[in-house]
Amino acid sequence: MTDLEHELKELLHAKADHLGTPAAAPQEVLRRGRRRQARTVAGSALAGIVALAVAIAAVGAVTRAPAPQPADTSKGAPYPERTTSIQGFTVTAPQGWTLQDLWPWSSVLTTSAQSCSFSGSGTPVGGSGSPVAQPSQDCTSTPQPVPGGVPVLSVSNFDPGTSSTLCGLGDRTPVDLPLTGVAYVVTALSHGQSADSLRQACPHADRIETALGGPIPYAVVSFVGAQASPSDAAWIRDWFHHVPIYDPAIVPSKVQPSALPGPGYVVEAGASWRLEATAPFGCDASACRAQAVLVGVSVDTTETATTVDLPVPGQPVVEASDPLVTWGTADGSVASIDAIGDSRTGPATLVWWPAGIQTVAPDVHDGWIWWAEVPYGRDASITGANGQTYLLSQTRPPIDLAGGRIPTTTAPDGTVTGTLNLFGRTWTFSDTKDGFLVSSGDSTINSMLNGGSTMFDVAGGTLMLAQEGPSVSFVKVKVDGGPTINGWWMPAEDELGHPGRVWVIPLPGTGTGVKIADDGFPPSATSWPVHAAPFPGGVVMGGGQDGVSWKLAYGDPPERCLQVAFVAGDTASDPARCLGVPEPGVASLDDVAGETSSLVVVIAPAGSHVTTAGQVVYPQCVDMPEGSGAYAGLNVCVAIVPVSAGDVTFRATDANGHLVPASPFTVRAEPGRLALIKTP
Amino acid sequence: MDGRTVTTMEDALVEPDRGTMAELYARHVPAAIRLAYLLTGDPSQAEDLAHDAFIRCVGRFGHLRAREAFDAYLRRAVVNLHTSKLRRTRLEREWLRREGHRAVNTTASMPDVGAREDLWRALQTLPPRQRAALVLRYYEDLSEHDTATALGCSVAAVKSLVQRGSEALRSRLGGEDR
Repeated sequence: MTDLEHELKELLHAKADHLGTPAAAPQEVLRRGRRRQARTVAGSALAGIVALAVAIAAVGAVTRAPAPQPADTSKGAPYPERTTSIQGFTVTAPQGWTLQDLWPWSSVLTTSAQSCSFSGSGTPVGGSGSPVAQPSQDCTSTPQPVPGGVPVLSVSNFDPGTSSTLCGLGDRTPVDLPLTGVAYVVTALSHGQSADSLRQACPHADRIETALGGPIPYAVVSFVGAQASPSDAAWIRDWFHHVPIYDPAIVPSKVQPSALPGPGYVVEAGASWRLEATAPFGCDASACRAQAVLVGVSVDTTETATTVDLPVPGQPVVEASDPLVTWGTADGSVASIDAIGDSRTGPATLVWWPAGIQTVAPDVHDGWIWWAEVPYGRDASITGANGQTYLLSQTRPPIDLAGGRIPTTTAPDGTVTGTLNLFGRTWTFSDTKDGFLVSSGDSTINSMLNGGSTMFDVAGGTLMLAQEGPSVSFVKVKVDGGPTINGWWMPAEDELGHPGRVWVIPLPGTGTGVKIADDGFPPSATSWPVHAAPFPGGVVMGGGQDGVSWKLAYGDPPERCLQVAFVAGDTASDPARCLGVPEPGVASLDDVAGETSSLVVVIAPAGSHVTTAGQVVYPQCVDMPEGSGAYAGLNVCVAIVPVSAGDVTFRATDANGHLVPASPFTVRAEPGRLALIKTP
Repeated sequence: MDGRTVTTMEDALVEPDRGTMAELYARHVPAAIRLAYLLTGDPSQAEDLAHDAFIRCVGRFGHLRAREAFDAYLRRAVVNLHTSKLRRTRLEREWLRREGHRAVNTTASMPDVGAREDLWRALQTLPPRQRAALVLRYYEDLSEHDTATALGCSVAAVKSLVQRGSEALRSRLGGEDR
């Protein structure tokens, strides 16, 4: 922590400590609170988050729930263990178990009833025309909670099918629980919904727990069959024991109508995506369009979907790709698939369509869903059951490298809107009173931080957005080993209302590079996608000052190698090496020496603080995320120490202010080396 | 049973009564007012903002089983209300209508807490989200992850906000050696 930050901390606490606050609640506040409660309880939370409900009778043609079937796939690989986020709810399913995304039911279940009265008078024109006065219409909407709630997801060691759930759906009877079956269901509730309705709707429930996601109450219901194996029952009960009773990540404004046409089986998942097998509501044996759907989950839990249809005669494999995964469908004649991307080729995993989909969509009875951890796959090498191999090629929209001004229009309320085609889709960018919004189609995907920059993953790549002043004439990214992608810009005020520009740089697939702009700052390293498991070259943190910039990035293999390197303004005298991992509870010092400055790295235990004394330097620190292997949880701090700076002391202290063992370190940067002046 | 208390629907969906609400207020709102004060720089606006956030929380959260949950949600509500431009404008309008004639005195009557008034003034000139990020990090002592949760943005965005906020403070303090 720098001196300024220390001063700021002391100031904030002093200011806050001297502020007088009411000892008791003012009556006006309590009165407003009670009034707000009454209004909230009266309304259904679901009415606000579910699109206008369609009568459940509209899906009456759906076949009744089939008898539960074993979850094991008859051919191909079993479903792997999957951890994903569905509508903000993080869930894990063991290998071979069934994980269903049930949120599509929210678009067809009746959660409110509308009644209208009409009145009007008029004189027919000529005895045959319309009344000259139009009748008035007065409609009221009444919440109608679904007894078992609106299902969000379920995990089970059997396949419950797609026509109902273990808690029933309106007038649909609950799925029977097999004697050896175990499961849990997450369901969104209405405020004021009674416990009796939930217990009656889930007659086989073992336990019921209610919880809160944002303002949305939800329930988790577990089921354990009478002859369930001890290990399965223990898994369910252990999971149930750890249900979060409050999860702020489940944000009400982000809960949205499902992007899927019907309930989906999650067959594989990553941190920011999941692959589902689904069939639309109303499927029957004569006509059904089962699909493989890749659902992308953005940083704010917004979900987008990309679908792939079944193969057609003469085309045994259908392929699609994404910044992280390549996937598709294949018919039963295919034995294996290798996905081919720009940077990698990898074998695909093939799984048979889930039994629940085969039941409602018989045309998938002989086919696969497949995926490969190949970023942005372009082609596929396919081997048939007869051993023959052939190549499938797909085209993808090229990235326009030129950049330029985004065409914009200005609405009467001052909103400036621009449209741009990126990654084969039309994007809308709006500078509104509420901030900078990025959308594609009807769904808002992210909100720009005025005065800052952000990146977020989308289908086809990653968008980098940067807010800059009007004097900045270019923002671009030089891709490592690739082209330079120039940014697109449109006028947008910054957060204080000053004129400026938002720059949009489309970054395809997976990659690393350097962001360059004429903004007075040195080039900065970047990598994409943002939400990806650590990969070689992936940037953890970057910084710079006085024309020198640096990056902290993963090496190879990423779980055992973290490196710091100059990006601009200086070069290291030694080749890049992996930073050492200190002993538990101990701090360590590392460095990369340049001719005019050194990059000093202090690695300290989780929860520690690193401060400096002596000459002024500004360490930047990061808590290494889960998944970063040997470095996970450590506090890694990087600072530029110029050769001219003299002696600098780095102190690592724990949460109680005590020095961490091995700390402090006093160093001095010299051309091509870092001199260690003093250790404890 | 594994020994865990299983809360029933009746427990969970019960609304806090008048006494519970007053207790909640006494337990959580003073801290929320202090946070709001550091965000707005004005005691009266801070009280209005914290009260609005409290009303929003007790109105929407029927079941307040976890004290930590209420803290987190109230903090987030305060920050959200503060950083929402439209909301902030409306609050300021209401406050000016009611208290405008003594607004300056209200601020001036605060005890002098030291010689760092220049830093305090510089903090007030930062964009709201930068200010919020600094306050959450250095007053609330939140981790970058928790700050990101409170601000509704990514950890990378928090880093950027804190870095830019710190740089702006240094710049506005006239290049003092910090």
